[in-house]
Amino acid sequence: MAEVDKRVPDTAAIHALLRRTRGRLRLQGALEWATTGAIVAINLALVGLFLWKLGRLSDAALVWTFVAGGALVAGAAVAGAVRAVADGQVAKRLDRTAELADRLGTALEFERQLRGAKGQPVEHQDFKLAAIEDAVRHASKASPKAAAPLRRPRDLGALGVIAAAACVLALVRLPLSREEAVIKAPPAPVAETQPQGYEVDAVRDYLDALKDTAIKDDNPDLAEMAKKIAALLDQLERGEIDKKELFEQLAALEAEHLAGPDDAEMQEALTELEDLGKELAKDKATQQLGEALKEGDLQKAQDELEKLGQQAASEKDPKKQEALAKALEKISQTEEKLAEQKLKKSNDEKLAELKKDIAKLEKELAKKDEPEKRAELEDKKRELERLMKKDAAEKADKAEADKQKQFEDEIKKLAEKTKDCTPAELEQSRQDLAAGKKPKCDVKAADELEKKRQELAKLSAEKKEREQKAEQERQAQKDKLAEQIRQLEKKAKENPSDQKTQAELERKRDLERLMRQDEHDKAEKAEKAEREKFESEIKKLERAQKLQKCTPEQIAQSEKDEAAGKKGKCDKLIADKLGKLKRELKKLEDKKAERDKQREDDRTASRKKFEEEKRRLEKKLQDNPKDQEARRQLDKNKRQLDRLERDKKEQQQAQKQQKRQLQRLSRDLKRSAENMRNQKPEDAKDDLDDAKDEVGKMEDEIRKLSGKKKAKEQMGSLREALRRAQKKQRGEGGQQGGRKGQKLRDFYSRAAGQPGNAKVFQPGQGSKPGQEGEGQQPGGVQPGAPGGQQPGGEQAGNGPPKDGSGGQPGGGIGSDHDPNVLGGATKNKVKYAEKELEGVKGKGPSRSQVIQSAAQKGFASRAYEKVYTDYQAVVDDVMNREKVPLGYRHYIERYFKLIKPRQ
Amino acid sequence: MKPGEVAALVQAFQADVQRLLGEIGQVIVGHEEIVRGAVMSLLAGGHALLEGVPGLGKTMLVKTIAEALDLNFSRVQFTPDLMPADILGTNMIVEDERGSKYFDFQRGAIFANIVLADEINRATPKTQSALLEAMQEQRVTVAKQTFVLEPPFFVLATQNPLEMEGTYPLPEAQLDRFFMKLKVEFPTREHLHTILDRTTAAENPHARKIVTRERILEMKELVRRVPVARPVQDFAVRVLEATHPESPSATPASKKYVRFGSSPRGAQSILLGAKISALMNGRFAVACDDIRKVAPACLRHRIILNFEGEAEGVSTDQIVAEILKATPEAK
Repeated sequence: MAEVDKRVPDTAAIHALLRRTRGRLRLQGALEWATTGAIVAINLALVGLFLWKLGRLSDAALVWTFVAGGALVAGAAVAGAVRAVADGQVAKRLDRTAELADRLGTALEFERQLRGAKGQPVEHQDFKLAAIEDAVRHASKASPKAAAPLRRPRDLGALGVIAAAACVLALVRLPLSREEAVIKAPPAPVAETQPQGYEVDAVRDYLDALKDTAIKDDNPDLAEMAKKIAALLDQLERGEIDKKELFEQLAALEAEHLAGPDDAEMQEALTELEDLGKELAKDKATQQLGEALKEGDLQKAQDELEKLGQQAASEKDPKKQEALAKALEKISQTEEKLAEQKLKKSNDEKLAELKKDIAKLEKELAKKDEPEKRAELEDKKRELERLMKKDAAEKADKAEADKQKQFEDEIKKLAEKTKDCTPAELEQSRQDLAAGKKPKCDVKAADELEKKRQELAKLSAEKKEREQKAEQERQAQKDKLAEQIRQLEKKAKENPSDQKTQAELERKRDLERLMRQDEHDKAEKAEKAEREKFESEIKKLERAQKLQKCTPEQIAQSEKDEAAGKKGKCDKLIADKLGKLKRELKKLEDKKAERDKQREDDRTASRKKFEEEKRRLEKKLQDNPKDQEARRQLDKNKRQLDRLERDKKEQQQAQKQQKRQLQRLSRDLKRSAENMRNQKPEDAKDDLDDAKDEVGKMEDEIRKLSGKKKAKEQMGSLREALRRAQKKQRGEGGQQGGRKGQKLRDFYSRAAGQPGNAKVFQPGQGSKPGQEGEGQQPGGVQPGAPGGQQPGGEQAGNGPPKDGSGGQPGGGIGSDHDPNVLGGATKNKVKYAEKELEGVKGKGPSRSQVIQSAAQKGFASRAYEKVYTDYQAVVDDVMNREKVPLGYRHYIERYFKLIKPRQ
Repeated sequence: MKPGEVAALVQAFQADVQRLLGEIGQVIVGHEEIVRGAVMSLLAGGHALLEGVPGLGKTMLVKTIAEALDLNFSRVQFTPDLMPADILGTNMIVEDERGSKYFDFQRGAIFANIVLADEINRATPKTQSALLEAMQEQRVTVAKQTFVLEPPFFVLATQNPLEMEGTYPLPEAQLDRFFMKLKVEFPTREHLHTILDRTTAAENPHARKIVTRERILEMKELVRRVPVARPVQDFAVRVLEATHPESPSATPASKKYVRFGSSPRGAQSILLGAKISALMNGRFAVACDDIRKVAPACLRHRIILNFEGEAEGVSTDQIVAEILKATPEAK
């Protein structure tokens, strides 16, 4: 090292230079940073001062703000002073200012190399030493003052301006100082509001189209809906309701009148019918019916069912009756099979989806454990467990029901065999059999029957017992769960941050909900069975009444007769029973409807609550994305919303299942088969007629569906037109609509071949001036309407003047009627004389000529009507085929409505 | 060696170069930078390519340098029919006094210390290639026999940027072998007056021999001993990097107009040139300013413009100037 020191020339002069220059650089840095820091500090102090003046900051806090500002300046100055300045940079500055050609920087670098070599020879050592000596020699030329001049800080100007502004602002007295009372903003002047209606003329065209569809399809529902919409439009026009209300009411109307099976559901039903038809076609007795169903020819199917009914009524041969009964039974069995398959498929799909979700969640959790996902997984698992249990219970119920049915069938058969034997005869037959004589009655069958009856009774008793036990267990479980929930709620209330308790509470509540759902399902099932029983009874009684051929009037008369002590023509008992059953059924249905409504209302309320909560949490998360608690709550909320959606879907599916027409058809056929077997051909015929009616209903639904589809499209257009409907202009003194409305009326007037208002379409607006007194039809048969004047709208006074020059718009809404309500007397400016014209033989004008003529003279001509009708068909076709966006569709439809033929 | 001795060597170097430049300046009017560049190329052991329109004194300059240096000089006028053998030499059948014949290698024009390859772009690539190979290897191999070229070996090639028809522009790989590319500009009015005065008088000026061959070799050796501080060398490296469009330090112009940047030979040339520049200024180490001075001549023929650059008429000198302006000295 000593050798190195000797070798390297003395570079103290260079280092001294560097030190001095670095010192100056640090000083300059401190000044720069302090200036910048002062700007920030002044701003901070200003904010503090303002807050203090507003009373939002205490005196102590203000002082602390000033102290913080001062500290900021000092800190910035220190930071500026102590920042690292490399030797190389300092040397570069010195070299540059003294034009030393990097001598100092190079010398420093070589010195470092030589000292670092620790006495070892360095490459080009002699030159390096010479370079250092040369640098030391030239060091005197360098000046730290020139290399690091002390300049005015860059931000000093800005600081001065800000400081001056701060002084001014600090002296400003705020209107809302801390001592002053809060002055409330004066209430906003309440403008005198008057209902303001909308322009709905254009919308009425769409309503007319809807009415046309109702008439064409003979759909009274649709006609009723159109009537209601017309009333709503009137209200909107008068300003009694706003658009929002109107849309809500329209939606309600649509739900009321256009509800029913949609296209997909109907398609599904037809597919099922086709499958059913395939099965039926295999049997000779029902081959024709099967073929008709297979082809989707429901009219033919009805005819076939009628034929079958007649056959059933007239068939006397028991074998043939049995064959027919079997065939009919087969239909219902096939349908049941199909329904079962469908249900199973739907359940399987649901289970598979749940399993897939669970597997996915487990996989995700294996990678990263997230409490939200874990909760979701738990939720899904519980759902899966519930569905599986439900599935298993349904299977067990079905097996049991099958077994019971089997017993009942066997008992029925055995009872048939022994029906002619009294107990005494049976006893006698037993004795005969013991004595070796031929018994009169089938003793074995009777014994068997007894045995079966006992077994069935035992089975029923067991089932009842089992159900009671299960019910007791469920009740106990329910009570236990309710108690647990109560305790957990208490615990959660005491310690709201305990997530474990919260999670447990959530789980228990879920369990309770699932239990409630199960109970509800069970109740619904029982109710359904009861309803079916009632329906069946009612049918039987109605049939009995029908046999008596009693009209309701006759029944009422019979009641009166019986009250008077006479014997009535009709059996009052049947009528009473029927009335009672119907009332019961109605009660049941009302109860069910009420419960469904209650459930739906609960669900809607919950959904609303959850959605509000979701919005709140999302906002909270937006403000603070790191709020884990809010995120957890949001996830929980989302899960609950999903669950509600799932419940709704399930209920809809169940309702759909209940409403299946095919099911009703199957029921009728089954009943018919039973009646055939029971030697009641008339009843069987009635059932078949009912089945025919069901098919008829289906056909009717299908027929109506296309009408509904069209009506839905028309409703879409109507809504779009309503969306575009403008508010009526104010200040036009009772005129309907503003300039635009006036233009439109003028257009309609001219389109109908009448003269327009010359002033409405001003020159330079791309329109021709009003065609006063033209309006002639081709052939000049229709005279032009009075030129340029119409009565002054609904409220007189501001109607277009007679000369068609247009008046000044009124300053506000008219307060009174013009005394001349009907406007001035029409002056007929056109001289015309009646002429009798003879038709000219020939082709007549071409289409383009007709269109051109219509465009110029109005759309009220026969020839134009013909052309329009042809073109309209093409337009309808294209609009149905092409996917035209609703907005464009509106314009196209509007255009064609505007150019439609006028009367 | 003591610092004092080093200083003496540097001073002697500086004095010799000054004298040489002064002597050449007696004959060549103006073109100081060209003369300096040519001398730098010679002292660095490289070769120079002179580009300029005819009649600007390129050949005169080379002749004058040869005269002032007391070195062998030969000139080859490149034409399309010039063959490699014309430059390198060839084996010829020679008959001796006794009448027996043998092959004797007849040396070509390349066997000189200073070779003027006039209008190099007029010869075919084959011939160009023969010369350029010899320039690089400093030796010639003919019929398996190798002949070492006597140092210093310095080729000054000229090329005319006009009349490009029928020429064979040097490929980029061969251009890279030239230490510097010097652009001979048209003289100023003042210089033209002086040229006319000197060349139309009774006697044409001639240069005296100033530096011997041995001294040249010593000077060449001294150049290599000049040290470069790492920050300065780093500056040279960053300048070179900036010529590459894909480099992070590339300037907008190089990104836009350059297809290929300079090879590492460019940096070698810059550093050697800078060392000579430092010595010529009596300094013991290279400064960034030295690099700035020599970079244009060392890089201009090593940068290949892209189509856009060619179409826009951008010169490589502009690119280098922008790079030198944009590259900070201390990083």
